[in-house]
Amino acid sequence: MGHTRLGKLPTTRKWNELVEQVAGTHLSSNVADAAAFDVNAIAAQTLDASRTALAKVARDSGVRYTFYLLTQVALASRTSNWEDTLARHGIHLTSSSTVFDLTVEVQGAIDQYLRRNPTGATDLSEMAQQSAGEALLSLAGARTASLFTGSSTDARNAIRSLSTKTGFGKLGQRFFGRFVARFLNFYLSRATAATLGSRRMQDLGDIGQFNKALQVHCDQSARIVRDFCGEWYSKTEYQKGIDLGNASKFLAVAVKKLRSELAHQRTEL
Amino acid sequence: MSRPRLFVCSGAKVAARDPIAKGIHRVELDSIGPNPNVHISFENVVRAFHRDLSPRLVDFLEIASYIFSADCATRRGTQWTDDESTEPWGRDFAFVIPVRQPDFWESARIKDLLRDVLGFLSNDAYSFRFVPLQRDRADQQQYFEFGDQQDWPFHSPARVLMFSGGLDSLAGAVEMAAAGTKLVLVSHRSVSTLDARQRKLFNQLQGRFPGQLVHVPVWINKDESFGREPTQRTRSFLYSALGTLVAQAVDASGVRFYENGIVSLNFPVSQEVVRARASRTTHPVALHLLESLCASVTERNFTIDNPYLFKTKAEVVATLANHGTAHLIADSCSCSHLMFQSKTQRHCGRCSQCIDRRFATTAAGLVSYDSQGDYVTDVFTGIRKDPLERAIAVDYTRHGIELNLRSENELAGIFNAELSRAVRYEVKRSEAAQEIISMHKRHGESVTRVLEQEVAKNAAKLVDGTLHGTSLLVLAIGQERMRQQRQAPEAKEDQSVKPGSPVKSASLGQAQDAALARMEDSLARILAKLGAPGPKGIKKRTKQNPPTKREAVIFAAILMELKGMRYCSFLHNHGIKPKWLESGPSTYPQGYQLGDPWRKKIQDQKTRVKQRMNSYTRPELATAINTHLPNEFDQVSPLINSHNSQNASKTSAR
Repeated sequence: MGHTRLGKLPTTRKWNELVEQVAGTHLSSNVADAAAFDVNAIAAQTLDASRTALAKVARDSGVRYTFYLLTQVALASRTSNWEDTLARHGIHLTSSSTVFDLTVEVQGAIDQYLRRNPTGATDLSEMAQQSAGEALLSLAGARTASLFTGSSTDARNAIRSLSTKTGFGKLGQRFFGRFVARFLNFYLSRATAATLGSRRMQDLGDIGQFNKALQVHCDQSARIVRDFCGEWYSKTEYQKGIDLGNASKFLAVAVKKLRSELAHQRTEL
Repeated sequence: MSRPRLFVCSGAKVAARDPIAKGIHRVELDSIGPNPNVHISFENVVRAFHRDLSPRLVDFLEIASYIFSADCATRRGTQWTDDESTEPWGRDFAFVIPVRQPDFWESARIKDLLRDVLGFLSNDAYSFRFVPLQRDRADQQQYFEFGDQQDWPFHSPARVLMFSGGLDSLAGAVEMAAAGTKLVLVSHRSVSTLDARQRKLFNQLQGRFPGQLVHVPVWINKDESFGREPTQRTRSFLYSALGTLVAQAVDASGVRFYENGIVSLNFPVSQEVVRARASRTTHPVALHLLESLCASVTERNFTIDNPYLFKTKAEVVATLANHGTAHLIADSCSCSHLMFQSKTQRHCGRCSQCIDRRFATTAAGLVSYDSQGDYVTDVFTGIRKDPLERAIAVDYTRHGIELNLRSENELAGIFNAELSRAVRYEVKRSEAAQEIISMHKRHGESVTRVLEQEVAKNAAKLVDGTLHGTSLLVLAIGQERMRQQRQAPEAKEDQSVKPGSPVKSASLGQAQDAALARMEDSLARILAKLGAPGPKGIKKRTKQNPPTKREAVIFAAILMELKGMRYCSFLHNHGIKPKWLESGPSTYPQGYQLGDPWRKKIQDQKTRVKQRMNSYTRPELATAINTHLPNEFDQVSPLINSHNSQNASKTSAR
């Protein structure tokens, strides 16, 4: 009974130009090496075309709550009763909970929050959830023997390394990098699959390479928020404590910063 | 979001100044009055009896039918909003539905459950107002006629089974019937082509398992004058209501869906597929919410389950062969384009279900039962005119290859949100997640293997450039690169081999070998770009026979870490007898008890089988276990993955 619904990009001039760029329509000769994507230009152009949707990111209650919960998970690992602290956010661990189990609970807590929220889940909130889970697992997972075995203490120790100023900066960079990559690919994946067989997208491997290049580009661009994120986290928690309100304000600034960084890279071409 | 709609049902009165109706597009739906535009009927019951349905169950079926009709009649938006940067996906629905038990349906808990399950399935926003029904249908028996005698053989089954006529529900029905279970199959019929096929398939099933099956087909459809939205995300809500109605009538403890885990979880094949763009019809969260709702409606423990959650489609298809029913594949139908099917060809060959079916029957080695003539378009070599049909073929294939190539940790990260929801109601979540990842890797391996096979089969055409540029194989391999490769060597061949030359026929075989070699190189290069360890990503394997029952049983015992007498008893209990070169004990346990040299011989055989099994892929091993030890499959299949991973790490360590 499974169906997958694929959609088309709008057929306006700006999107058509983007599709042509992805397809390499105007390339004078064949691209021998698919790694020669000008991914940064394509990313910047996509951001430009989707700027109204991007502006909604900082206002999306699901994205806000997801980022806020990341700060609370990190902070909980610094408390003596980490399981109790997490339980206050609807994250219930037992002594045998693994790093993966932690992410199941984090995702459940976000889903629960969105169920009670009048605006509910959105495409943006879903991308934020996916990015948060990926960021937590990829960073905390590297600090544990296994994602799927171990104990709550092991999970806490792994998360604790992300609770310092530097650690949270890395978590923030990974979260924002993956979020922007997913946001861009929400649009671009329609163009890459549809233009397969074109000059630039010659075979399946070219799509894979494009996706990898896009992710690397977004991860690197998100370096701009790494130190900023760590400093905000450390300073705000020390001075007044992080809450949903100030986390949301930070989110808006971080997205703006990231967007201008991606646009800046385009002008440097 | 598309324009909000108010659905006023069963002749309810809603004043124009009512806040619920203000500024909202209004649609009247009616299944009760003299001129209904939503049609509900039960028919074709093998052995009829009359049993009064509870008013609440009648309400439930009507509510579900109205919701499904609204879902199917309302197009999701086509015009992007927010400066063409936001895709209109979710819709906004309000319903006013007259019911027989308004107190029950108006309770906050039930309305929350309805909103939760429908929101999860469809991503639409729902609001409900349930009002007392003023005018009931004239003949309530038109709803349901059934047999309820206690001695009726189909009374009190464990589950009623939702039977779509596709491969998965067919395999489930076969598996249960083969185990001697009496089955009540429930089907939703919406178009006559589907009806005829379901009947034919059921008759075939009945012929194979006489006296064991009863079929309850139910017509529910809406007038064609409404619009048509193809996504139909609330299907399982309607099916659950139907199933619950039948389950209640025959005193079954619940409803069973059979859906392979890959489709049930439906991980996004690309990053545009966010939320329910990948359907969640039988997703564990959906089934959990539906179960809660149906338990509330029936006021008893009620189970809705899916036993195939940890099986790939290829493994499900193999089940049919295991029970000697592979011939039924020909009469099953998987295509999503029901409305446009011809009488002679059931499958379009272009939708995601057709692609998945063809890959699965090929992977399971049962493609001979899945006639090419039944496909309008050849899945691998046919023309795909529609860009979206090209995209689904491309995304399905790439997604499968990447599942195969990525590590367990990578998959857990990339699909963390989806995986977390999949195991939310599991007791051992980490173990279940590993099992799900293992299943996805087996699926990915199957997709890769089938692609390799099809590329090899069509190598000459690919090199010649005679396949259409929009076919799946050409899209995957890349026509332009093939053209470039073709030109250089052809120039050489033209100089060395003249037409009519006696060398020509000899060189034909060489040319085919060369074409195959080129294709293998091309595919290896593509896999490397998608993440395989190196350009020699494809292992050239000589074709070997599948594992025998003896090998499969011994391998299962190895995976289960059985040793000594437990190992020997396991073999004995599965009907495996020793084959000694000389005369010796007739069973393994006897041999073990007698000590050496028999114990050593048993150990040597175990080592040989272990080495031989290393040459098989995970799907091949899983198929062997599924074929020869179906009862142990769920226990053994997760162990296959860890066994292969250990081998891989040993190999790389060397």
